[in-house]
Amino acid sequence: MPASHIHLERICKRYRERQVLNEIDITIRAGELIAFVGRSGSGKSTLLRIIGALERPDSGTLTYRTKNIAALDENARSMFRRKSVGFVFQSFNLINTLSVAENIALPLQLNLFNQADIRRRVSELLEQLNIAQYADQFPDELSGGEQQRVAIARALAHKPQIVIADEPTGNLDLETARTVLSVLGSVCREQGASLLVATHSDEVTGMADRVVRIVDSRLQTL
Amino acid sequence: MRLTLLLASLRFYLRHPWQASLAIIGIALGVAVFVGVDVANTSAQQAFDRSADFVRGATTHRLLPALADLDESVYRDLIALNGFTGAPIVETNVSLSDGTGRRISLLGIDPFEEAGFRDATRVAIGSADSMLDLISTPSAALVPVSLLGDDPVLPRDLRLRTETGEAVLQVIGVLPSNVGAEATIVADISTAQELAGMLGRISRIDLMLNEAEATWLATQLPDGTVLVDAGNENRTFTELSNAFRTNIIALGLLALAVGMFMVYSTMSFSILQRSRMFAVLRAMGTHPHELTYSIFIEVLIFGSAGALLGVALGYALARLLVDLMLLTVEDFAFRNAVGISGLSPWLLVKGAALGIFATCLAAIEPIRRATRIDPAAAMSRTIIERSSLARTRGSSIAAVIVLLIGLVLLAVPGGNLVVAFTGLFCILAAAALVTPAVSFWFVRLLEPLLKLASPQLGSLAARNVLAQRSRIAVAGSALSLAVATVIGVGIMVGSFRSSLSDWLDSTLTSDLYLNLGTPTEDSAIIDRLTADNRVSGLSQTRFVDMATEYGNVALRAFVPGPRGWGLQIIDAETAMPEDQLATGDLVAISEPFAYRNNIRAGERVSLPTEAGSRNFEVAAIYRDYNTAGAGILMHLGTYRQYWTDHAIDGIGIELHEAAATESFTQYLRDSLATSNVRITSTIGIKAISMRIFDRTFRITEVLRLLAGIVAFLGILSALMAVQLERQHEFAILRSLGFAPKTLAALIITETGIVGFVAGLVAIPIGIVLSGLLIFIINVRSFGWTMNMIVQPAPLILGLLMATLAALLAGVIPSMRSYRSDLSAALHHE
Repeated sequence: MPASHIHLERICKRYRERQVLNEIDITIRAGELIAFVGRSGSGKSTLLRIIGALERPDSGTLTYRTKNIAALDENARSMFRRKSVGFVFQSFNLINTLSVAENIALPLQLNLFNQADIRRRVSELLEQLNIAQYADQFPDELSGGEQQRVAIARALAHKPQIVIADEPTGNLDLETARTVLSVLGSVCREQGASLLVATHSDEVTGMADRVVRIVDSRLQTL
Repeated sequence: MRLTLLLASLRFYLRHPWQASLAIIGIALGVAVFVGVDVANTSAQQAFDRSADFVRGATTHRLLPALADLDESVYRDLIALNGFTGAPIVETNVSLSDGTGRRISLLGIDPFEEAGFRDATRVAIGSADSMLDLISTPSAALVPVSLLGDDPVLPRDLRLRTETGEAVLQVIGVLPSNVGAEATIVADISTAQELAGMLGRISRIDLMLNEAEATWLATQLPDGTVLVDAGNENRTFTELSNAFRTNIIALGLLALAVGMFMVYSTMSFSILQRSRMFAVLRAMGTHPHELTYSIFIEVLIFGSAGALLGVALGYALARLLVDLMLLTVEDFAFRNAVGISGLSPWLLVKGAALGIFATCLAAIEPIRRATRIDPAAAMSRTIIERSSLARTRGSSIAAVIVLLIGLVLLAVPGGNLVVAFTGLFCILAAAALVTPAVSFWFVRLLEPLLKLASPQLGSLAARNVLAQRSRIAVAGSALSLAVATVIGVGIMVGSFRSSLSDWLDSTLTSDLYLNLGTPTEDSAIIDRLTADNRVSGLSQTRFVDMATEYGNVALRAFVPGPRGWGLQIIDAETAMPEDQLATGDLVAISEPFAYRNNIRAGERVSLPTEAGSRNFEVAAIYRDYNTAGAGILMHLGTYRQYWTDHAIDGIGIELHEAAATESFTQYLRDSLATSNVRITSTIGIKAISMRIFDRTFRITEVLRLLAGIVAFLGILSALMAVQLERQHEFAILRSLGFAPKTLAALIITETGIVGFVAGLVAIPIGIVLSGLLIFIINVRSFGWTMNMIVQPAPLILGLLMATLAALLAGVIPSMRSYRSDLSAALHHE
């Protein structure tokens, strides 16, 4: 089993009067695929946002390679997201005014890769995700499944250690969802990235190394 | 990375070309109005400076008569004998006898003493030695090129009407057009004396003195003369023209401010549209400063494009504005002399810098908002527009602070016009900040009425407007502000016009006025009129342009007729100050004179009488829209007590029957046909005065209109952008069964509500603005007070303008919703 590289300890989060996460402890290992399940509003997305440094917990620590991410300032959190995290969103969130290839290149440019490396990595991902024919097209010209593949390519482009996917198949039909998940899972495994997925899908839970349920703002490992 | 972000932004605007175009047009129009005003001001000022420089030449001081003119002996005995460098001058106005009656200045010089003073007169074109020719040729003159018309042949005759009657000058040369002599005819002093009826007299002595010489000479002055610094002589004129220019520049800046609102509105909206993109970029680890840089480049591109287009448009606008400005200038040669100054690199840089600066300033808040977008929003299905409530509260606090700053600036003593305008802009900014909250409060008030008017659409339209508030608030504010300006300036001009009309009605007590042309002591006309049984009474006036320690003063010595003095008293020590004027050494002073010199009723003014300087008590301060600079009024008896001048130059005739004015005018015309007397009826004077007023304010009207057009485009762009972005929502409504017609009516009702409410909010702001213009800006600019009269017309016009602009903004989106592909619109969010 690979070594642990993310550790959450006593994480709490409250929105106004509502306690969303309470005393959450979890350790995530490199290359692990974890499915977070639970009812709508149970706190799955909140937990993923905290792990992805999009949001701060009210209390508790989030350690990534000995650093407490929760305590970092906004600049350091941006750098953490830029280098170590890839996001796959339910509504794809591609930039419609950039072509497919340009969308995939974006995290590489942010991480100051040189042009040759960017070109090589983009064509590699285009091939791997079977979307090379759409390289010069704009996202709003593609179907939902095709857009989600582009989103996955973009999330994996800079080889992050953590990939966070919030309901990645929520907007897709069963067949497309299955294909997208299989691609996402296999590429993450190939890259040794931890894949954390918030989902209602049995397909995802079936593929996961671990399934974690959030009930009454606490974790239950199934 | 930066290039990619920029590329994404540019493609966004390529997909929304109207948004980019309207932002550029907004800033271009704002810059155009400002640059146009600047070029026009500079051109007029340069022409004035050139003319003043030409006449002043190297003169350091002037020896002036307290009254009309000086005896030549003053020059010989005081200046020449004491070895001072001086030049005697005769200056008078003449009219061209070319059918137009246009007036021009005639400068009589002594060619022997001219050396060093006005060397430009020596280089006249067409004359081998212009100084020698002026002396040797009878009635010789040098003229500006504008007087020659299409016929350049010299010598030639030039027919004039002068103080003494018709005259013919022989043009022997043309003054070069680049020396500022475009408004002046130059002749030998003896020729000028003859034409002005001033044999043995001169208008002034121009001097070149050092400090010690000036000090000594000041102690040796004969009574009835004043020594003034040539540089300060035009102080009053310069102050007035500066005030006029400041007013015009302020209107230009207002247009630019409205343009800034357009940029703010466009940038805010485009950032709102791209919120998700920015949230995703932030989630991917983009730093806020990287986003700032990217959007700033975008703003710079808009600013540069708008500014360059604005400079070009502004230059074209300048010609129109110069023409409008010159409507206020009587001197036709001066008007001809004003050409548009060249497109200097400085102007380009200034216009472009101002446009870019204004764009960047307007974009600060939208950029700040973009960089503060929560990256976690990328994981939400919808990005909720950030608490407009918090923003409203913040705006209200900012409004109070800005309002207080504005009030403090307006209360600053000293009467500085720029400070007053800054205060005025602060008040407007405060109003703009609270406008969104007040507007949406109005919409809530209107909602039940709209529901009553149309149960199906009324309430829905009002609620939609409230739901869109963060998108339309800025555009609504800009529209309110511009309409408030239209209303405010409209009320101010209307109040001024009405006050002027009232003032003319009370001041013009006689039915007819005779301008005697040349001042006369001959009482034949008075005797004849007194004996006429149609005449119920006469007033007599002596007008004197007097050089005083306050600068040049228009002194009016007056004997009122039975209808009295006709004064509108602003301040007096007693209830009937007019009665006192006839009894002692008392004077009344005009309001602008009192304001500029900070003199109140009961205080004293010093005037140079023939027996030396004497203090006169101020019995009253009266309203005077005629003498912008300085006016002093005294009884003719008092005047004659201190100045040995028994002439009069004006008679007012009061008739028993006002209806007989026309026939009596004809009778006078027939009986005075051979004299120089000009006869004008009260009605005629009033008509001319009102015409001059309307002409003077035409430029204000045009600039007000331009600010309105900029705002019109602003609301058009903002509302159109909001409505076009709602095509998906409209498609949902249509899929629910909304007929295209109903949907179109809904869209137009919504935009109409926004415009109507903006117009409503603009009314109180406009009234406050007019109050500030009337009671603070006008007083500081011109020293005039006036009655504030709020007529319904400007208010209704403003309301209609706002509503119409907003209704038009709804036309294109409603047409588009008619034609839109329902399934495509439903598919794309």
